[in-house]
Amino acid sequence: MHADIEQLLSLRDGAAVSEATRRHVAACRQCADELDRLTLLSRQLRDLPPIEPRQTLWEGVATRVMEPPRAVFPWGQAVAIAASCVLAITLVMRSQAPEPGAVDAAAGDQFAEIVPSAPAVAPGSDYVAQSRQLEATLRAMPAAPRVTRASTAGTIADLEDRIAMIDLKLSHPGLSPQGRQSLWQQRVRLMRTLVRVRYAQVRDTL
Amino acid sequence: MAMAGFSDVRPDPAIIRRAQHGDMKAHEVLYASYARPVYTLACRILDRPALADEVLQDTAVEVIRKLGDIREPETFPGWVKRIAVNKCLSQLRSPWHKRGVALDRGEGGPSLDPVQADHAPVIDAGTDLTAALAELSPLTRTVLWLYDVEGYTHAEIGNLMGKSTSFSKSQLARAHQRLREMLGDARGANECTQTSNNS
Ligand SMILES: [Zn+2]
Repeated sequence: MHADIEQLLSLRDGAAVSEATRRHVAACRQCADELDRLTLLSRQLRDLPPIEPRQTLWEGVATRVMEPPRAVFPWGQAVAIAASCVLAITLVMRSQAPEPGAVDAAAGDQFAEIVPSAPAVAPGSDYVAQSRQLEATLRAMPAAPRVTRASTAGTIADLEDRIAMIDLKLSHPGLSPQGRQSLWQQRVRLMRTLVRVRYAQVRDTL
Repeated sequence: MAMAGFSDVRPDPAIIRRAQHGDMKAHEVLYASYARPVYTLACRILDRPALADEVLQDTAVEVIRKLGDIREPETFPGWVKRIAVNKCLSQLRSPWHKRGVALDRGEGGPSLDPVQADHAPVIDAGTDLTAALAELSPLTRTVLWLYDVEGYTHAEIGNLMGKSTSFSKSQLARAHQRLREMLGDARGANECTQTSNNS
């Protein structure tokens, strides 16, 4: 019987394999060829050319470390075409309550970074799920245009500040379940507004 | 041969010391030494230039904030690599990725949902190998890249991902199985992977 790919990888990488497998591969042309192929592929992966980052990324880093941390949503990073945004927003606006399957543990991990001690799921409500979905929508939107009306920029900054403030309150350990619930509710409301403002901003630049 | 690896990141210890004292010019020099390997790693794993931008910037910010932790300058490349890998993994866990891909399923199905299908073009998508890599699920591709290219062990990968060693092994086997199906016998295709050399 021929060696399977896991056995061949073990052979390639000097991991333990049974003596029978070792003897088979040494004697079998087909398996030996497969082993060569795996070795070659690994080399081809390592030889893929490096990829040069854009020059302007450093400026963004320098700006971020100079300023006190404030922005909840890193604009200018997600790239998606406007059409896909319209779709995403339509979906969010239509579904007030996302299906339960939309929330899962891994998404919770990421969210926990934004809201350090918020529970993965707030009991008795789907505000957390909605908040998460809105977050995903925002991330999927194109970068903020270089030129934005001052009023729009001000509104966005204000909304982000208020959301950041809520996140801060949510991280407070002594928060009552009701208090938590109400904060999540406020957060969802602010997020919805933010999505609308951002959407208008993107639409204006098309 | 163009090297993309972290092994080429060998900053002058004096630069590290200056940066540790808050010299932003020195930080910029450090950044220049690791930006390319970090960006390459992120592009290869995430297959989304916009997310790779984010990983590089997040990594750089963390390097600046935590550089004081570094005692031995020679540990710098490995330290930066660990930060970058963690940033990539946290991108994979983000809702943005999650909506299209179930991280745990790891099946080589379509890695995009309709909403995110129109992402920015993949870097050097012309080669068979990079096109095949793009077809792998992000999780499978990550294990393949960390193991075959970055030299992590299965135990280390399992640890990074909060999974077992055998999980990493089976993902690697899956990756090679899928590449085998897509590429056929890759021997002789070696020249095709050497286009668009950026160095
Ligand atoms: Zn055989």
